[in-house]
Amino acid sequence: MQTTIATLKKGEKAVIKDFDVEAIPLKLLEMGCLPGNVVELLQIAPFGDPLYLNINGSHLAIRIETAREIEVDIIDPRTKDELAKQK
Amino acid sequence: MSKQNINIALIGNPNVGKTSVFNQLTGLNQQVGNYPGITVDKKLGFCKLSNTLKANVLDLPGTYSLNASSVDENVVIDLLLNKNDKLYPDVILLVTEVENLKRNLLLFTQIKDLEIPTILVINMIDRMEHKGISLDIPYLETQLKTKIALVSSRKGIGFEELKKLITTYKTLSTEPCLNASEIDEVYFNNLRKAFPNQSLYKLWLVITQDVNFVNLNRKLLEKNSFTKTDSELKRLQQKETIKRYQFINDTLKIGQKIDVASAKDFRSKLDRVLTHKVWGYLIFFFILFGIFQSIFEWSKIPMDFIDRTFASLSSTASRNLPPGIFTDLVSQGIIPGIGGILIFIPQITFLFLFISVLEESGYMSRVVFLMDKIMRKFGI
Repeated sequence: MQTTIATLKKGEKAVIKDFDVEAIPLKLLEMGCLPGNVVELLQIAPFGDPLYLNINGSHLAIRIETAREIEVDIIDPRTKDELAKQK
Repeated sequence: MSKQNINIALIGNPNVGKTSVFNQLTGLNQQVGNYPGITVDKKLGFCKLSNTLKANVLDLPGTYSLNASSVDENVVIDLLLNKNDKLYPDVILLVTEVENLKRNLLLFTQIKDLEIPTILVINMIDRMEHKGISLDIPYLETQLKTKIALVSSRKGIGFEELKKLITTYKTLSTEPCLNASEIDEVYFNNLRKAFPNQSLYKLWLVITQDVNFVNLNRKLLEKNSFTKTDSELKRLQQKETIKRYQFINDTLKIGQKIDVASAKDFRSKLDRVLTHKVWGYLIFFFILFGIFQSIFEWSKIPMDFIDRTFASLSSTASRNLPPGIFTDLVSQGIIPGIGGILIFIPQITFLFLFISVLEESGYMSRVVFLMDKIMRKFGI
């Protein structure tokens, strides 16, 4: 399954990879929801929808249908030191 | 209009303090509010810039970009595209705030493309240190091809300098700070050939926004260049937005330093509680209950007062006027009728007071977040 904003866990950070332009309101792009920008899932509303995000420094909430359209790469929360130790 | 009056337009994102900048410039005490789109109409004030130069200052509704999606945003576009409007600005003050500079600058780059002299006003500089932000102003000024004024409308800092800057508006650069037509060279070249006298970005706005001005409209443009489907246009708009952000990111990478350690703030902690699965609803319930209670408790005193006043007024009237139909009309009809309406004023006053407090504190957006899933079923 592909990773989207909808599959993130609370507190996880990710980088926006790609999305279908048609499915996303232009307003969201203008608020900074663009490929390459960091998104952090701050809070999930009761019943799992909507999602409260920090995208590129803006705090905003989107519904889960929109979130499913936005593909992301999760940023490993472990620091560089921890990764080095593992190796 | 006297010949020395110039037009200034205040433009910026919602919640950057445009209206307080307006108040500082004009000395008017405009009501400042936090509802989305409070400045639905244009607000006009006057400002004396120097002994010889006066200005009409126009406060426009907050907008995130020139790609309008609401009525208030249309107000902005309509004005900026219509050179014949008597309020068409000689100079634009683009108001931004320190914290969300990146997002604010998107609008700035769009405005800049309209080739109107623009001053970048950075508001809330008193919070800069607290947020760990530092700016390289000379670098930003060269990159963005503009002059920057640092102000704090809350503390009244920087307005003398801003006024001085405005008086030099004729020397400001009107050059766009990036070339957005690169996103589709062929298309834009054709457009330029068809309409050599118009600014390219203006044409682009007419096409994407479907707004009409003077003798230009979308149909005419499409006939003369060539058509693109709506989805192609949307893709181009996305490209344009990405390009603008690239430019802004590159600029701010050098021009702005943020010390992340001090950025972790109170807000996230508060949000965690206010939007919590259990606490969020409990707090919301208690706030609603509190409002309900206080509306009835607090308005009791003024309501009783109104009640008593009108009762005594009505009995005075019936005692002092000669008996008859007219007296009955006044003492039993008109006076109690008006009283019956006025008695609700205290309750309504308190209700609206509470609603505006909830809106202005930003709590309403948290409630929307909590209730969206439920309310959506009812189409709200």
